[in-house]
Amino acid sequence: MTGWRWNPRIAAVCLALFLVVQLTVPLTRMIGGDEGSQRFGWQMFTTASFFDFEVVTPSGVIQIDADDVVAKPRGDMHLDDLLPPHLCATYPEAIRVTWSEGELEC
Amino acid sequence: MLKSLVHTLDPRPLGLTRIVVGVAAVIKSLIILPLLLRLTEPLVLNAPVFDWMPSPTPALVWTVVGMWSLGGVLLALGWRVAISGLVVVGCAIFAMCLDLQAYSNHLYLMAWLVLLLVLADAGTGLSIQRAPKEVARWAVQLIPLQISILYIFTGLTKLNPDFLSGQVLAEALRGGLISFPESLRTPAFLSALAVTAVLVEVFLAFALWLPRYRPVAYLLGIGLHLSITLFMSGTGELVVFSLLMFATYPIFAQVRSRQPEVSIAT
Repeated sequence: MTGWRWNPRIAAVCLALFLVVQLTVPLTRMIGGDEGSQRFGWQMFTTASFFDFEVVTPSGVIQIDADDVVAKPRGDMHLDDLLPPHLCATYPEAIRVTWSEGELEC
Repeated sequence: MLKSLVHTLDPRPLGLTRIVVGVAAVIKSLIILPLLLRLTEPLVLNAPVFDWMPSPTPALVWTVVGMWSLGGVLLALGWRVAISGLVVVGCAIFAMCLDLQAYSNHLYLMAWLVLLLVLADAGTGLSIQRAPKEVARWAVQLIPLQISILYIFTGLTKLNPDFLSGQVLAEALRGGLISFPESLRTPAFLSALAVTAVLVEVFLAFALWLPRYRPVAYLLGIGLHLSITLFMSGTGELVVFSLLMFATYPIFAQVRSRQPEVSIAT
């Protein structure tokens, strides 16, 4: 009725390694991370995120619906960096992409 | 002292945890399927973690999700847990690397829990394949440690003006199975609720280990996760998260119990 026999020293090393990883990763995410949610940091429902991207075209402004261009908008994704170039490529008529904290000329 | 790490425990609570985590893994595979398939649409943003990751295609997605589901079923049944568990972990890691949008905290938690179940030899209890064998206490204890660390950090990271003002909850408490009462949607109540949530999470991190406070902790934990699941949007994912958390609760009762132990150290 006994299972795998662990060497106590190996068990202690595994336990220590586990604690180092499990404490260091979220701690660095919490202290050293950018503003907003950080992945691998157990940050759940910590901050509100907004989606307000618009594509400016010669014929007017297109308000972007998150569901059209993003499979799942996440606060920890830094969409400000990722989405504008994608919108420029997706909308050939786009002149620029604007959002609350910046804009990108296409 | 080192020898106490390799004391052994009854494998059945760990087996129960494995079954519930396996079920949660299957549900998660079904939930992530539409998300991964959306990544194959031309208009949808692709954000692979590594440039060398393959582009998502329907065939790739169905293959990964199929392996993931099968692995989850076999994990729940206790069939070759080292293999079925690692298949689930591999598929979860692959999905998280395939695109940033596939990441979620409960998927990350699921990957860790399955990995720890494999390490703890969770196939030895309540399994279709193997006769019950005692499991090493230290390996089992990593699972409740994981949960306490999660509760601590998820509580501490909520100590910010956005959350404590109730602003985050005002957004999150929409679109759930049960509508949050509009009469309670006031800044004062939502702020009080936010503070309560932080206090409960930090309390759970410690109280689950203490026999004296454990019954209260169980009640608060069940209340917390049920209310999140019922009132917040994204019910399917929250069901998975709640299942993963509840799955570990039996182990808390075991690791500090005063039942006779057998040292397998020689």
